[in-house]
Amino acid sequence: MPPKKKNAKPQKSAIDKDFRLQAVILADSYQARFQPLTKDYPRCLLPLANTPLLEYTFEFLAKAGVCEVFLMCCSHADKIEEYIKTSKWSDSHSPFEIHTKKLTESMSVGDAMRDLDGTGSITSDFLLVSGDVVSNIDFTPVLEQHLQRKQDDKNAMMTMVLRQADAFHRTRSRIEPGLFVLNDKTSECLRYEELSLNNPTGSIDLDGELLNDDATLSIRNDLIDCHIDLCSIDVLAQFTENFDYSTLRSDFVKNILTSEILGKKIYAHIVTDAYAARVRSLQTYSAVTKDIVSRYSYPVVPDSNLMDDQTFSYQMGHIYKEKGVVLAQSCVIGSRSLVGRGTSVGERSMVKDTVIGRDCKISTNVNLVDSFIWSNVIIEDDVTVNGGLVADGAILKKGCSVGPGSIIGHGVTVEEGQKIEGTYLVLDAGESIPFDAIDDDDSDFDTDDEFNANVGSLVYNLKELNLSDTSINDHCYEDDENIRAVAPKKKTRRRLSSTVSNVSDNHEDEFQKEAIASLDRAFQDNHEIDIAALELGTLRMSSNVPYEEVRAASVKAINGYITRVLNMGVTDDHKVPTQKVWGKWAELFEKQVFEPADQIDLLNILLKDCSRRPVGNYILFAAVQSLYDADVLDEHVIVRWWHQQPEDVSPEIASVRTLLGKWVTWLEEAESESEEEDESD
Amino acid sequence: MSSQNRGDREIDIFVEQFISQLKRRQLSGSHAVALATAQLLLRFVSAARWNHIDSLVKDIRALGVRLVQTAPKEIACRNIVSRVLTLIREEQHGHKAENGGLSGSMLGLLEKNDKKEEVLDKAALRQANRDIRPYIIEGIQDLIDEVANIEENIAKMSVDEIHDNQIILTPTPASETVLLFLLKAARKRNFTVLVTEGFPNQIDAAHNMVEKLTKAGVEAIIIPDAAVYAVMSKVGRVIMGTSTVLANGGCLSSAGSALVCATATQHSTPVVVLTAIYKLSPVYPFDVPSMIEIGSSAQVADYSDSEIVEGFQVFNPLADYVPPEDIQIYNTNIGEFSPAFIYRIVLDHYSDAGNL
Repeated sequence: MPPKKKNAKPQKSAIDKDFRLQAVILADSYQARFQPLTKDYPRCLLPLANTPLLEYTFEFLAKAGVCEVFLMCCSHADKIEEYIKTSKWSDSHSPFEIHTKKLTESMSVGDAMRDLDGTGSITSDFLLVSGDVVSNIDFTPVLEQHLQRKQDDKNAMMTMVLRQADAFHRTRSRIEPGLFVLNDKTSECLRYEELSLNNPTGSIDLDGELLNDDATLSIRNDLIDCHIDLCSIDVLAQFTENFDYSTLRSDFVKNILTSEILGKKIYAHIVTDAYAARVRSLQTYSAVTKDIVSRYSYPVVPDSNLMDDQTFSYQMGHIYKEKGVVLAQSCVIGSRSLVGRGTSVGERSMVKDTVIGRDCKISTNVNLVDSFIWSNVIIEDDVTVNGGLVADGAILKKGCSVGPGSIIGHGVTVEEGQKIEGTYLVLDAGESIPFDAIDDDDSDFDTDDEFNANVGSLVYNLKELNLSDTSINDHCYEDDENIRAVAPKKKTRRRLSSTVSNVSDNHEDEFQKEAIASLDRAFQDNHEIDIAALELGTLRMSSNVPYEEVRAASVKAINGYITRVLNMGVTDDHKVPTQKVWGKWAELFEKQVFEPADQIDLLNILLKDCSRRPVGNYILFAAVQSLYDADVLDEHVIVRWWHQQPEDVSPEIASVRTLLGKWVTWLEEAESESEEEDESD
Repeated sequence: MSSQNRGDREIDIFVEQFISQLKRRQLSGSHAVALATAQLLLRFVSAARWNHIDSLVKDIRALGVRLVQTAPKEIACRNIVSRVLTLIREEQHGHKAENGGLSGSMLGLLEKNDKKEEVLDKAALRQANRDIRPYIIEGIQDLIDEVANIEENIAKMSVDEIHDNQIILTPTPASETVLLFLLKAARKRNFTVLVTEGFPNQIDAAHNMVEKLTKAGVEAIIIPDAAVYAVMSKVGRVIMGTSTVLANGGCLSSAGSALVCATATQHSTPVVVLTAIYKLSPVYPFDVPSMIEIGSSAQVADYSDSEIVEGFQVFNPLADYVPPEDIQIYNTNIGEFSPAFIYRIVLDHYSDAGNL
């Protein structure tokens, strides 16, 4: 009798015998939601229930019968490649072949897709997933249906796999929950909207034509979008043709669906009986961990020991213990807990709803509830961790407590007796938190308050929000602009250094002209800033110039416009028009300035440009003030820049600087005053 | 064994694939696992290179330990490895056991026990120069045939077990053995079958079984699990399948069957367990919870309901341990045995050589 072959799935009509399913994994999310945990470590290798995230995705692909995998990495690409090389997936018995693609220059999903299209490695319909998918779905019917639909209708280009849940399900992302308008009969997706705070009305506009067909529509806000997409090869081509597409859902899907010319169709596959989710934020990280530990994702559970070196065994009450765990006699391991190898738990310690990594030392009388403790953590006596995340190598000294929403970074030491609550700590390894510095606005901490609030509350304060379901977007409280704005930081730097050298001057000149022309049109026709920024972005990408050029062109265009307005002589007052123009257009720089070095560069450009203009003195002042108001420039950067200015400057520049000088002095005073106030508090 | 030739690598790939299939539960159920394990071992023995039979035994034992660690709850897998190890030892000792223990009665084995030692030395000498690979492969092939055709053998006895107008209750709708047994009986007997619903894991299987029985002309009824006690007084016999028979005479069967058997004992209704010999295991149930697989919580609680998912802790055991007191008789492919006698049959089929 011939032995059973692996991947021997029943041959149905729609699946060709020679069909080799290819998969593309987007290892990077192009977001910064896991900062600072992803500072030194790739996001897709973060441990989820003691197993790197990427393993779950591979497991899913292996089960789906994928033959070839393209792994698109961006940040920490080397580390991911290293990991893949040593993992079982590159062994000869791996069910698929992995190609790791390092795209250090890509800044969005769109870039990765365009790059992939350029290589021509994808030959047929492929599975597109992000590197953080956890699923136990049986993929064969999905594939069959997709191929069948494609046979029937050439315009069917994509099938999205969506898990039915409810609007406030813990595993559903609160950041960009998608709203899908589906045709009930054909399960064609007709519209896609991302709900967010930017939509304060709580309503969406639908095209009346959608209702003209006799089909029944359902508008669904209860689906977990797990980013498992079956795409036809057209999808790549679409990304290449439209190089402003950067995200898969809000750009690509939305535009394809609203575009009547293309006539392409996207379908949804609603899953009701299997598990599918994506770890896209700390909120979903917490939820998916709980799902796995409570065995909703069976057979993707810890005691399946996905990694070869794991030895988890199950104990009633959803308790998982690896071999080599040392538990004191009087310690209590409560339900829904997971303890990794080499970890010891001391006398009278309590562990409940908590995931503990490997080689942790937990001393006596420690209380761990609803928390995530990664590997090599040392927890001394009488410590309480309730609803916190403690990353690798952190040390919690005697008697300290970590409250809900706290994240203790890699290698951080929390000093004796400290109480940490809802703070978001970013520290380099080896540093410790000084005892009195907890509430201070110390620059060592990334105390971007709004961001902290988001991330902290993401995980823990959702209960209250769940109570209200009056408006669709009540729960979309995160300011996602804020999160997005942080995102491109790292990548920009890389892009700058890599592109600056090989760009020809010719290119830059052309870009300058075109950019100024494009902005002028925007000023004249009073365009929205978003549109102008998009145009500028498109230009930047097509001529491949660094951001410095973009900033220079923008400054030139704005100041040029002001000069022209003033020259027209409508009014004698030069102050009001200048302030008006800068007040409106300062926000344009939000997408061009990312870090202090960029800010200083922008200030230099401004200074240089204004020195050549009439009333440059005032324009410079108005510009800097507006940029400061728009949060493009930070006060300490302005102050630093001001003091770094060389003393011996040309008379033009010196004259331009006079007005700004006064303002900076005022700024400094205001700052020190507020500091004093803080201290006196 | 050091040479890493092509054959070795192929078998490595095969072993790894087998292990991942076990992990993903793509391979589950005692029959499928037993068959696949036997086939894996057949390939392993064919591909393996050894200088001495001991090194082969060592390799198979290492593989067995790995398989057991991978799927500690698929006891059939462990049984097959133990059977093969026993078989190799017996082949090594000059086909001695073939005449007695393995396929014959256990009484024969008792007689021969004292002669064993002297034959052993001679046999070892004789075997040293002989390639026993073909014999081992033949033995495994026999084992595969045994596993594959077992249901027929058990079903032969169905007419003796079931009487006309009897009401049969089965708590294991997923068992192919039970289905075949009933279908075979249906050719000559006229009876009614009550099938428990087996919520939540076996609802589909229950519907499937009832459909097939009805097609064969048997009156089949699905009853809720909770109604078992109420109907038990009318039931003439409980017939159930099992995934593993343990050495103490108890067995592991699908969740809910322990309750049915306890109820049957209360009503003095005989419980008949249909099992193949390969399901017999040398394992004692010292730690019952560790033998029971906990399945998907989503089968019990609707995952899309966030209130339930967040508010409740759900357990979905896939198996039940039925103690030997609640079982009247085991109906196997080599005869009928009382639970108290199971230990003896286990001894017949597994030697110390088969310990993992």
